[in-house]
Formats: sequence, structure tokens, C-alpha cells
Amino acid sequence: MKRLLFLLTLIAVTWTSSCSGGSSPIVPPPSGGFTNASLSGSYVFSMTGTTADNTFGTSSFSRVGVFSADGKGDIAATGGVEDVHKFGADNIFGITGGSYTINADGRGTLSLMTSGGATVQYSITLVSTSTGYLVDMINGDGETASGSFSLQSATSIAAGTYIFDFAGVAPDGTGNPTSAIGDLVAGTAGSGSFGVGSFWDVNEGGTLVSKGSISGGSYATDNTNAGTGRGTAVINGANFVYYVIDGQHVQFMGIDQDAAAPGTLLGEAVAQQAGTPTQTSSFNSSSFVFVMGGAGIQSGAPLARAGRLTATGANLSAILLDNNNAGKEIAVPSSGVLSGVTVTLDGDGSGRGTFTFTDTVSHTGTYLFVFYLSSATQGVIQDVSTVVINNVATPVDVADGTLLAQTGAPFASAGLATSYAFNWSGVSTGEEDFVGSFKTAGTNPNGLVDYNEFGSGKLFFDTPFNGAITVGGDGTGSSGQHSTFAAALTGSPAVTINYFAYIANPSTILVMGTGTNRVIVGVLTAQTQ
Amino acid sequence: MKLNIRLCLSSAAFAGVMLIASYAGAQQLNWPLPQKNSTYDLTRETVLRGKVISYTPESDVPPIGAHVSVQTVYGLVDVHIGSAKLLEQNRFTLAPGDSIRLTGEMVSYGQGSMFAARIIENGTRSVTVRNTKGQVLQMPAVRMPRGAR
Repeated sequence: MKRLLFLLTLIAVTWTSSCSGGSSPIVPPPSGGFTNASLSGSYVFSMTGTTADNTFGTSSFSRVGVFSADGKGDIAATGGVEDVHKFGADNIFGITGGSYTINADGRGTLSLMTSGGATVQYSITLVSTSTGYLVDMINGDGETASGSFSLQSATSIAAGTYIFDFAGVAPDGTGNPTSAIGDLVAGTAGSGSFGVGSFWDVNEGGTLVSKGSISGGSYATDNTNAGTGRGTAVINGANFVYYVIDGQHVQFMGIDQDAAAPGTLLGEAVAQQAGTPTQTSSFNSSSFVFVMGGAGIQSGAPLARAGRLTATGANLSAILLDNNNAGKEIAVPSSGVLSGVTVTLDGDGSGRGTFTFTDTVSHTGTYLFVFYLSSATQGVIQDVSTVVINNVATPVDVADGTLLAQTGAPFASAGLATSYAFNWSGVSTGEEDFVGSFKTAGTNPNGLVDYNEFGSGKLFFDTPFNGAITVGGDGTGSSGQHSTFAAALTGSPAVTINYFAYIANPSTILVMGTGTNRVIVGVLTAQTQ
Repeated sequence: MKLNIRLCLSSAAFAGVMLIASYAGAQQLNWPLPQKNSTYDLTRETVLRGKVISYTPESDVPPIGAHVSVQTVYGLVDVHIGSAKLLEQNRFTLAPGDSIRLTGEMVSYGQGSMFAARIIENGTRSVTVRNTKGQVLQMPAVRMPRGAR
């Protein structure tokens, strides 16, 4: 009898195992050359996302700081610090230890212990040994966020002009979605004042500031946390904390208290390079792609915009714009491309310019964007389009993002046969953040993704998926043909996220979701070891 | 504050002129702007019960946003229920004839007052549309990932 029971039990276990195994996809073993040694040194990290409590309901929050990895799986107990702006207040914590693992494909986990008593778990993916993406996977589903981390090689601001893009919620009690892009002229290294020539363009819930002067601003290294790269800055009366990454990059986060409507601004400042175009004559068949995220002002609904264009002198051509407004995708124009409009550059060294175009094909309206270039190939962009309401030109959304030159075109699938790290961030029923990697030439499924959908039971680890990039035409979109990226997640339930892909170069592809049930944007970055 | 700004933008011509002026660079935004005290107070919350007469996702009647007209024992009450998108995302629906329960309070608005709902219940479904400070909850904005290089 005992033998029979044992046999039945064995059969049952075997059947159960084979059943569950049969319904799950085969998880590809991580491939690549990353190891724990790939994460070694001090890294500045920043992220923004959504949190919740009983007082404020859901609200946005941000976190920025620096941690030190030993290349062996441990986080140093000293030398790390972070600022967390949550529920309307900024708190600074020491990083008191932690651990991490890095798989061969660059994916891994990072656990940071802080002096506040919290231990936050992140899913991470390395782009290289010097940078990567992360998603907050904290236990208890109390928050989600995504961002990046980069190897630190300097701890004080270098003198120079920096192009910045801060996005989030205005620190003024309104709760308004806000975008601020511009340039900051840091006259001296370390500490000093932002000098003449510092400007910004702001869209705060539809109230626009066009090239406002930034006056009286200052920045100073935080000597209390010496050696961490932490400093504080004042920009037009608003207070920020910053962390220096290197001589070219600085991460900023707003720290003003705002208990009335929690939220903060987060963004990066990038040193402007020599050779940044200041006159439109510098544009010679210069093609750009851009992707931006934001929210509708009246609806409060999430939205994304993306597109491409070619500038030759002051003339813009081959314009293609895609919108996903709360799950409704609209291409501008509805077919082909737009041409015959202008681009401006202010010519004052700020790198600021505008482009405006009217949809003369499908008549969806007039679009106006402001941009600041940090180099001939990189910049930030803000949507300041308006619609006429009661005879008044009224902004309808707040959105900003990344502007990149297209280089190395034409693009073909063979040139994209590599491994990509990625971060996607969007909104479905709530915020959702994804991080992972995939190999375009790999067998199906060719990648793994971790994601947080902000809710009970909505943390997903090691989900196999197949990522497929399909190049349309020459890959530039200049003829109106879209390139696409489809991510078929094989978890339960299985879901495919479809994107338009805007190829800046074979190493950097910006993506915008086209689905009706989510608004999502992201970036695919080729991995190097 | 937010709703006040929106009212100005949508209903007053001079606000449009100010908007254009601000875009021309004549006005500089300075932070932090003066904060307005929230008039919402949890200790004043009341419960309103009644039948839905009509539901307007995007009302032209200030404050903008979703409104529901409810027949109560006190008469017909116009209730501001925040963002229609938030209701949509929570798959929360309101239809004429539904018996609903609203937790909220009367707050001053412009020259008058309104019933600002914080929690709406319809049958077994409920959705929170304001935080305890009275701020309308919104869907999160989409943010373009950046930073890695």
C-alpha cells in the first residue's frame, strides 16, 4: 500500500512538473560577458515614479544619489548617499550597504540599504560597465519608478554651459505637470552663480514661459557629504539637489517642500559641446528623431509624441509626427510626410531653437516645439503646441523628451543585430516600468524583462519575451515609412507591446507605444562590454 | 489653484492675452509661487446619497473635469468628481438611475461653492478621486527615460 501511495505521489509530482513546464516558455540562458566585476566604482543614480499613501493617494516621487559597488557583489557601507523627494518633502539618507548580482546578459539585481532603515530592491540592466537602467522593485508594491545610473568620475561641477531638461510636478502647490528645458551657464568650477545667458522655457500646466532669463541662480558643493558629488542649487527661486556624474553630466532633483500637491522635478544637465549649431546654416540635410512623454492639461491623461524631421538651412522637410493621446494613436500626416516649414536657431549660443509646422494634409492642427541642443547630435525638446479655445491659443499638453540626430543611415536589420538594454516607462491602469535586455539575432524568446505595474501582485521578474525590430524603408522614416519594435511578453497573461521605432543610430533607438491600452515610451541602447 | 488657473485659461479673454504675453517672454515664472491654503478639511466630510441624473465627463461648467448631477433629498446637486480618465482607468462607470454614495464636502469655489467628492461608490464599486487634502487625483504623466549613455 505504501509503495502504491509512493508511486501515485511520484506520478502526480511528475505530471504536475511536466504540466507547468509545458505551459511555460523556455527561458533562454543569459548570454554575454557581464559579471559582477562589470559594476565597479561609484555610480550616480536617478529615478522618478509613482508612490501612494493614505494622505495623498497616488503621487509622483523622485530619488537621486550615489552608491559604490566593489565589483564583487557588495555595496559599500560608506560613501553613498541619496535624496528622496516623496510626499512633498526631501529626505537625505546615507547608503549603509547592500548587494548586487550581474548576469551574463547585463541584467541583475541591486539592493541598497539606507540610514532610514529601508532596503530598496532594484532590477537593473547594464548598457556597459559605465551605465545602465534600473526599475524600483520594492517589496510591498508601494511604489514604482525607473531611471538610470552612470559611473561617477568627478564630484564637482565643471565650468561651462549645460543644457537641461527637468520634468515632473511644479513645486508650487498646484500639482501642475511641468516641463522646464534650457541652458545654465556655470561660470566657475565647483561653486558659483549661473551667469548671463542662462535661459529656460517652461510649460507649467499650460502656463508658458518663453526663453525666460535665469537670474540669481547659484550652485555649491555639499561639503557635509564631501566626495559624493552632491551639491545644492537655486534656479529662479526653486531649490535643487544635484549629483555630479562627470565633467559633462549632472543629475538634478527639486527639493522644495510641497505638501499641498506632492511631486518634484527631476532631470539631467548635459555640458554643451563645441560645434553645437548656432546658425541654421549649420543644418545640412540634418535629420533628427525625438520622443517625448507627458500629460494632457485638461484631461490629465497620459500622452506621448514622437517623430522625425530633416533640416536643411532653415527649411524643414520629411516631417513625421506620431501621437498617442490616452491610447488614441494619430499619425501626422495621416500618410506620407510634411515639408515646407521652417526651423529657427536663436544664434546666441544657447543652443535654443524652435520648429513649427501645420498639418496641411490631415488638418490636425499646428505644432510648435522648442529645443535646446547640447551638441550637433543631441538635445532636449519641449512641446508648446496650442489649440484655439474661445479665440485664445491655449496649450493642451505638457510634454518633453529627447532629440537625437540620425547618424549612420540608411539603417538595415543586419546593422541592428546586437544586444540591447532597455527601459520603457508608461501608463496603463497605473504607471508601469520595464527594464531588461534582448538580442535581436537570438532565438525566440530572445530576451528577459523585469517590470513593475504599481499594484498588489504586479511585480514581474525574469519574464521571457521576444523583441523584434522591423526596419521600414531606409529606417529613417523620411518617406513616411515607420520602423517598428514589437515586444511579445510570454508571461501570464501574454501581452505584446507594439512600438514605433525611431532609429537615431544602430546603438540608440527611441520607441513610442502605439497600443490603445497603454501610453508608453522608452529607449533601446546597444550593450557594450 | 490648478482649477483656478484652468478656469482663467478657458473662460476669460484677458487670461488669454496674459498667456500670449507670457509666452512672448514678458512674464517670468518664479518658484516657489505663493501657496493657497487648501480649503478641504477631512473633519467636515459628509456623505451624500442619491440617484444619478446625468454624468458629464468633460464639463464646460467650472471647475472643469467630470461632473455628476445627483438627485438627493436636498434637491439636485452638481458634484465635481475629478478626472474622467481616472474613472475610466478604474473601469468605474456612472449611468442615469444609478444609486450612488459620495463622500466629500462643500468647498468654496470662485464666487460660490461646490460639492467636491473624494470617494464615489456605485454598488460594490468605489473609486477615490481626491486625496485627503482635496487635490484631484490624476493619471501619472509619461516620462521619457533618459540618462544612460
